[in-house]
Amino acid sequence: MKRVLTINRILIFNDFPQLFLAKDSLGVDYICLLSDFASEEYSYLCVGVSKKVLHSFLNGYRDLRSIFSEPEAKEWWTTKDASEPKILIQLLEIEKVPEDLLPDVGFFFNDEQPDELIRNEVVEHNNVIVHLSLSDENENQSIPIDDLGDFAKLYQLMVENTYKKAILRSELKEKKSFIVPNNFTLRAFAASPGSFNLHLKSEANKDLFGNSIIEEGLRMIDQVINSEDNEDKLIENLRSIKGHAISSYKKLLEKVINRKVSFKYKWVSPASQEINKRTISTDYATKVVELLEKKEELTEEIKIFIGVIMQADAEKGGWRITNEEDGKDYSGESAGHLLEGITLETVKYKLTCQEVIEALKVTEKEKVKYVLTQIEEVK
Amino acid sequence: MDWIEELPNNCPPSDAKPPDGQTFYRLCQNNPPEGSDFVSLKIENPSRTFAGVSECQLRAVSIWSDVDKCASLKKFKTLRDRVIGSITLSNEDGLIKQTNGPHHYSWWRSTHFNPNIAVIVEQ
Repeated sequence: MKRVLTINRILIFNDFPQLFLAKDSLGVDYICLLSDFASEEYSYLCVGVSKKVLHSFLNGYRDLRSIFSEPEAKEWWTTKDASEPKILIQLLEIEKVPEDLLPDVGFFFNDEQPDELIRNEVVEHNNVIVHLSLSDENENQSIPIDDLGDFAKLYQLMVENTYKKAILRSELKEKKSFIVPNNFTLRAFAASPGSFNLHLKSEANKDLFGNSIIEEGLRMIDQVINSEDNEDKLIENLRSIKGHAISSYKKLLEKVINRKVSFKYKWVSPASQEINKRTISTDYATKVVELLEKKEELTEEIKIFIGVIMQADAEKGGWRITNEEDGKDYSGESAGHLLEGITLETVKYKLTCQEVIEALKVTEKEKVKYVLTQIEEVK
Repeated sequence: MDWIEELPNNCPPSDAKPPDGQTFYRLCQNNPPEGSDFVSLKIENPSRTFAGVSECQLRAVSIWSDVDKCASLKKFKTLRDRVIGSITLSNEDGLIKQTNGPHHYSWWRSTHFNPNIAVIVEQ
């Protein structure tokens, strides 16, 4: 008997994958262990596992040997080729697994695992999980729904802006193809008490080691929200996400201050056992907002358009340009009298603008405004 | 840097770092360790691949920052006979990157590395 599995996640790698997870077409999980490794070929021993056993193993409670020596289905499978994501496994006609294929007693995937809930969710959803936690001064285990919506929206906005910044700075080819909502949008799927905890999952692209591309943005946020006391260092961190990302961070901080709420998050990816945690207290938020107000340029995002100006109103300051780069029309307003004396439709100009995302309510889409700060003729 | 084996384009990745004198642990076949204990499996069989694992990673040598994590792999049948070698890597010995979990590193080895510095810490 044969079955086709799809490789899902590599758990242990030492020069070559030693242990990996796969799923069959019915969604049953399999765990596969490298059982033979010769110069010409290799083979893996696989067994089907229930979610309960899998969680138990991944959380460090279950010995690997027992999963293979006493599998729930009493079936052992093997494959000799894992060079493609879909692998063909063949049932071994055996009643008992030979001793020499079994791992020794005492291999626990991880033996120091707090935060079991979030780790189980990572296994269940096989992508990044984020828990947002909100608590007020009285440690109430509830929160007004408007505040919940605002915090969730502001956090999502920050993830989106830092993700975009991280991708544009990366060495990935065809960067714009990675900037799609699926890669930075989080979906809420559960809540739990404690403080008020909102559980979010990502459906971003990931590799077989479980590295999800949304981590690029989440790591950048971690780097900015740290307990750095040194003001210069803090400014340097903030400068690393200058522009819209800082702007959304500032809005989140202001919300923390205004609502007197402590905002915490933790996230974990399938690739790493590490739980990444940060806390924004009202004191911390106040300190950073004061700093940002002294360094207003950190929140500025500059956008440059080159093309012919189709419409302009020197008196009221309105303008519209057809941008050469993407062929789209953009309009905005002007500071001062910068539009006086310009020629419409025939002369090419370079417009340097400040891009401003206007404050938004939970259900509204963001509104972008361009404020012209400099204009020059392009010859 | 001169690499001990031919690497594909854009390998090591741009975020790989110099080891900066850190100590790592490696499962070695020989006691005392030899040069062949510190090469990738691609040397032995260049055509061997695994879905989703890049040629660059397969051209790296697996090393561990935690001796206990490294030792735990000896419970696997295919690694049972290995010994654990400790190596302290200088910046001239290549580039490293943490990959696939908190204690595992991929090491792209340079020709500078001297296998004789390896010390067996556990058999």
